[in-house]
Amino acid sequence: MRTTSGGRGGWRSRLDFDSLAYAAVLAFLFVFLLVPFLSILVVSVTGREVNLLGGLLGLSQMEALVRRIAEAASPKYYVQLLTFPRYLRALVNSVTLGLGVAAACILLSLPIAFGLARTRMPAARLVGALCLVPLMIPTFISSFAFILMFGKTGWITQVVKAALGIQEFLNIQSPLGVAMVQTFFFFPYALLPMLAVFKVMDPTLEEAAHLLGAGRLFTFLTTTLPLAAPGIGAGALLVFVVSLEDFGTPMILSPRRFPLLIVEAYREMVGYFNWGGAATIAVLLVLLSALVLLVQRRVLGSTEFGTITGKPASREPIEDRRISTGLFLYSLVALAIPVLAIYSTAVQSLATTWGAGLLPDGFTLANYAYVVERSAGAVLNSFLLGGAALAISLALSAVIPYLVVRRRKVVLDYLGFLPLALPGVPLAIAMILAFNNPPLKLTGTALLLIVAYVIRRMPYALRSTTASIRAIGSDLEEASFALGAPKFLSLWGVTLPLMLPGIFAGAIMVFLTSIREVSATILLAPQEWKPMSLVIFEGLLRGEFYTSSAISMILIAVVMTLQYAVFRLVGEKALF
Amino acid sequence: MARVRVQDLVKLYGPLRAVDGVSLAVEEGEFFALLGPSGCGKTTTLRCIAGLERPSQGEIIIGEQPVTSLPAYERPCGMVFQSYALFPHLSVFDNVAYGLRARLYRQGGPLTKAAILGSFLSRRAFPLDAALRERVREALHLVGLDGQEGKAPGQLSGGMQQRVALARALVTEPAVLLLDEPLSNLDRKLRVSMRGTIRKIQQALRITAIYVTHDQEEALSLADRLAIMDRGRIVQLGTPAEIYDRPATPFVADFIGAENLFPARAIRSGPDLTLVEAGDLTFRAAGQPKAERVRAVVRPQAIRLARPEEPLAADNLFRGEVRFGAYLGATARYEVAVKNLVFVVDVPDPRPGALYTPGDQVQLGFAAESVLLVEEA
Repeated sequence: MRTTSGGRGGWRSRLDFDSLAYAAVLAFLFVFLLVPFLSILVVSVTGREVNLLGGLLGLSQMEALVRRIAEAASPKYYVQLLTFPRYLRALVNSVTLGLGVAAACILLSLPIAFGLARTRMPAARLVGALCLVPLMIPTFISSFAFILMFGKTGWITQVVKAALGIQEFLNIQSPLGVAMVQTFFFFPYALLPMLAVFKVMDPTLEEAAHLLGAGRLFTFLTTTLPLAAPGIGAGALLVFVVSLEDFGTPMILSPRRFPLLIVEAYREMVGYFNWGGAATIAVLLVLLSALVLLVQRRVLGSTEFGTITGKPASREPIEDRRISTGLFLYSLVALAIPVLAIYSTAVQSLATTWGAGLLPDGFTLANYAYVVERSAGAVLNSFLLGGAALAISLALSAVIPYLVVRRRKVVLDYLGFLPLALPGVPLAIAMILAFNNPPLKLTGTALLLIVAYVIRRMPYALRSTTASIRAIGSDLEEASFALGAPKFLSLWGVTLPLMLPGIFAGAIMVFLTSIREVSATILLAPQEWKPMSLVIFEGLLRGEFYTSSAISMILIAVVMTLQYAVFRLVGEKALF
Repeated sequence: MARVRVQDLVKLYGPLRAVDGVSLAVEEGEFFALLGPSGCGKTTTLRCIAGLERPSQGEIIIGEQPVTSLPAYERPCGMVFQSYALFPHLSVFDNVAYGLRARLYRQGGPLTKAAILGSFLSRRAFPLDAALRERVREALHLVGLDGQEGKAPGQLSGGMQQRVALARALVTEPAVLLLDEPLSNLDRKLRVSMRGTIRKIQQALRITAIYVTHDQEEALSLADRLAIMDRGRIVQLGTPAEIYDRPATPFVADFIGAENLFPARAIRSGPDLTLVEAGDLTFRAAGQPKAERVRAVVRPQAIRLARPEEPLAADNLFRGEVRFGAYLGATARYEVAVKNLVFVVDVPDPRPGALYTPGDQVQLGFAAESVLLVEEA
């Protein structure tokens, strides 16, 4: 009797909620993450289409697939990558740009981070909030705004010309312009980890340095800075990856003579239908991002220095008015650029015409009227696509962290973070390559675009939930078990409600990135499903500046409103 | 080696008076302890002396020099932190050498400054001079850490980290050594032995030391003089013997470890004997209180116990019942109820066969001289 009932119990528990959810999530990730990943790998050596999913349908299909791969396999695309001068230049340019932007972001944000974390900076909350603004603006909009400000007829160019008599002080449509936009809009990625290390750093270490006779500057150089090094390094690496992945800025500002990997991958795919070349560059991009992100994790992991114990002393912020005011003014100047970018876009969207001058020739709402008339569908599309991505993410980010943290399904942890190394263009290329044929012929459907949004942002959604589920602690769930509630009821009644703020925040962030996204969108969106980000992007490339600015302002308004909702839900940590 | 004078020190945190008018003078070469419960203002006082907090009012003078407006790095103080605050990114050697290098940096010209900063990046390119290295080695020798120069602080045990912190504070030969609960993160045995080490080094160097602690035993055994603080004020200042024998207030008596502290009333007092009523008991105490309302203190080790049939003579003799007993090795501690009072009694060197158990009827006796009468503040 005992063995029978025990056996039945075991059988039943294997078919419970956890196992079903685990199987479903694994299947989803296999089809939409691993298969695309493998597809770009395979195509990068074969140079032609392979239907990996089709090969799984039966033995004969599998055989055909293997034969097809074996026939075509050759390293020629990789050889091309290293010998074709344009590719090689693109690689060098991308890495140089990334390093330069990372260094510039560190320099730009170090004083702001120190000021916010360690001094009585006036209006610290305002400065902190302004630091988040750059992250909300898609780079194709900020790049265009830079043209409005610093272009040949840009208003800042005009001011400089009038004031200093310099004709053209800056050519914005250049590698320098790309680097400037990325610096002013990506520096928060460097700022936030720095802010964190400055805040958690043991204040007694600096006090000890002071008592050993070290003055402020000496202490900063020999104690504060070395202790902050992991945060600074992690921030720099993150900026490097973001710069590598950025598609909007180079498309708007980069001249043809300055090739970048991300743009080349897109051109191979769309311009030349060179599948092998596109896949090879995609693989290279993925490897680069993965490598840098691995190093970044190592660097961040080393933050926990030493074994210093004892109660942390409360930190007295630096009282010196000159220091805090100086850092405040510096921060305002640095933050003025992104704010002015939004201002310029807003003015443009309200302008009848705006030539060379500080202000437009006249103001009108006609651009918005035009947008409402012609592009309302695109706005709706954005909401539908983003909403669908949000819904799928909601389900995934409720289930995956639960399975990882509570049921120790470590595989899901690794899979969940894999997309971190998948920039938008390579991801889109992988999706097209994997789903171009039956059984899952999804290329050209909105579904594939939605899935791409979900996969792209999944690591961020997961991180926010994983953090909140770890904070809950398993004892609450165990208490629920002990009170007689079975697994699903415990999940439903105890764990899930506590996870909800984290889940919602993560899902809204997926929505936000989806409606800003353009690199995967441009490759995957079907004509009738164009979202507003793509309409703006194409409009800018076609020279429809006024109406594009109007849609941009709508997009910015939506993003800022929802971002505010996220902060209300979970605070600053929602950003990463 | 210098006198430290603190005059009318006040430190406000918003409405909270963390330090509320503290004045004290620590003599040259003296070991001075600040003792009190957490939140009494002792650490804040120390941090004001160190220059880590800016006093709201008052003056701090080290030697002949007023230092109140000097930043911490210009004061002649060395400090050992409760958390040790060892630099985790520097080796033991570099931790100890830090203060010497900081001084060189402050005093040197631009080239020296650059070389010192460079030495943090590459020791090979910017070697430190032999004299400096020798001083670091001496300091490590002083605390018994020879040969540990190359280790990272995280590789050392708590006790060794503590010694590094001490060496680092001493290597610059400060005039005053400040210690902020330096032993509170060590286990008991190590605490007692480190106590001896600190005292010996302080006496060998004849350095002025100010030591903050909440552990009365530590303060009494280490300090030449101590101040007991409560709610931002000094309530008593004196030698350990003075404070132990003549606590000025019930708070001090309680904090110094008087277990038996009873509210009492002096009902009759002669020239050198007072009759005191505490609860339902009346007993004799030596001396003459200034007020009628007092606290009567009887130290646990001053009380003797005996079984009812055993002879026991004492100025005050009562019958009671054992409520609780704990064998502590060197002593046995009992709680004995006498009418409506409960006495804590320590019996030294108890024989395991002769322990009392709860419910035992006992005689309890103590001398009139062992009763301290403390006036209510």
